Amino acid sequence: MSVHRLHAWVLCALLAAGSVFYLFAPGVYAYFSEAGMSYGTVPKWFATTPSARITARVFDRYNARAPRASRFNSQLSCFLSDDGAKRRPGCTHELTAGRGVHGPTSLKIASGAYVAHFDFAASDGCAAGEALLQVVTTGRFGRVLAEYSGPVSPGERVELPFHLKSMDAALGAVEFRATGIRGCALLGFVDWMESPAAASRQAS
Amino acid sequence: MPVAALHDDRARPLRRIGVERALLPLFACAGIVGLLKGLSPGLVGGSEYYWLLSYDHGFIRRGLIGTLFRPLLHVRSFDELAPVIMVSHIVACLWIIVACWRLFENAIRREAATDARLALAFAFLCLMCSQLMPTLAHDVGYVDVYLISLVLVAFWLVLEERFVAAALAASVGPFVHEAFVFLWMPVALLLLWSLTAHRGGAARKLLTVVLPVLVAAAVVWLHSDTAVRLAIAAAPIDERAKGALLGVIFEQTAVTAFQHMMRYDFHDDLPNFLIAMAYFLPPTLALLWTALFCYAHRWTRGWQTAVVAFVAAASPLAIVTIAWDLSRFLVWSTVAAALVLIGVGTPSLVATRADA
Repeated sequence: MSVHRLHAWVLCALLAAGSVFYLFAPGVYAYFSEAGMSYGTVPKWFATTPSARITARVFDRYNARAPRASRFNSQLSCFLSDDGAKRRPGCTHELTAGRGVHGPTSLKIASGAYVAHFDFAASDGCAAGEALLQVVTTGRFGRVLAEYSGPVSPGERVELPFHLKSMDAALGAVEFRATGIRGCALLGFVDWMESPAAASRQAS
Repeated sequence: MPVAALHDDRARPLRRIGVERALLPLFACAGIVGLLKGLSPGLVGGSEYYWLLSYDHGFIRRGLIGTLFRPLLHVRSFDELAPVIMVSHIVACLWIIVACWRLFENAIRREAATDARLALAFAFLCLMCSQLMPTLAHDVGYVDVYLISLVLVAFWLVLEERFVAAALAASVGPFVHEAFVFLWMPVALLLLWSLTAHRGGAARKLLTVVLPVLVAAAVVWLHSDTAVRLAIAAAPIDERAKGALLGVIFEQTAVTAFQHMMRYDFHDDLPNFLIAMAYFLPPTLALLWTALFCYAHRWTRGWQTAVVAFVAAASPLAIVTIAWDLSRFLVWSTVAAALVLIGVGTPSLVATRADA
């Protein structure tokens, strides 16, 4: 086999292999500080291919320092949209039966172990109740990452540890949801932080 | 390959029914998969202004699409017309796939050697599978698909040596978006390079190079701040978005945009930039490699042409020094590499030993 022919085979093999990789990889939308991925309307099994996993891995830490995520985290309760819940001064939300909040929009964070905090306060006529608290990923590949359902009272902080896997971080946006079940609960401050255990592991 | 054989190939384009002729339609389908992967369910936020701002209050940048679209807004609301934008976006994406297919088909037809024909066919597959189509499909409402369509039309005319028509077609681009000049750079560089070898038609080639750039400069120069303020004030755009539109898009100059990019984006997110480059650009490099494999042995000025090809493929990336939609602009270099691949195999653009 001549060098030229060998060159041709190597080039064609590389082009074919690269093409297969990119064919099954998600569409990637990258800005300088943030990246997202999607599979639009192609079959869901595309997301189980090595291309999907490798792409998610490549962009895994891309969103770690996204300014938008920092801004959301500093005043998350102000970025929550009301699904029937009544917004009160100071970005607090009155959760009554069947009424809740969700948000923020399109929050992209890096994969890892986190803890979400939901702080409850009190106001006249809204003291205590039961609520459903969730951390979910949205979109076509969305799923519930953590959930709490039960009584909440003023001054109480509910901690919801959740683990955001690489594929979930790549293909979905993280969303926080709180819905009233019974009585009236006043949702105050909401935020998330890296799980202390994971953070200490990283530090060591 | 003997020089005489090369000369014969040029004189009599081969019309073989090779395996690659069957492969090309199949490979074009990969582009449709890319389109489906990326396609947004609706207009991307922030793209509305292209369709809503027009020349009604005076001449403004990026006002052509809005001016053409404006009459429809007299009979239907913008929300009702969103499906029209969606459909025209999909049609433009499909047209880009077909245009690329035809360009590669013609390139393959010119080749006698099977390995070069196969390499070109697989290069087309690489182009279709790259992040180009998902990225284009995703940005519904943005005008990139129309800019790339115009570049492809003008490039086609250049290959046909209809330079004046190419210049006129390319001159429409800056009215859609002045960033068109970045997409035009690869074609302009190839034309300039061809001038160093083929003196014939120099004036027409220069016109093709220069006219779109002059038009872009004129569009920026003639843009009226007052007109754009009035147009934004009158447009049915969310009031909070109006301020950002004016401040971030229309009051931004190339200098302030460059300063912003250097101070924030490149300073804070350089590792992200490098990651994105490493992920998006391999198809660009693969297309350039294919160009070298298929054509370098015929070029009279081998390494110089290779350098020109590389610079031409990379040239659209200059836009990331003034704009932050990273993936959107990285795929422009994939388009550029495809144009370069076709261009450097075209005897009228690059001098070959057969010419010598």
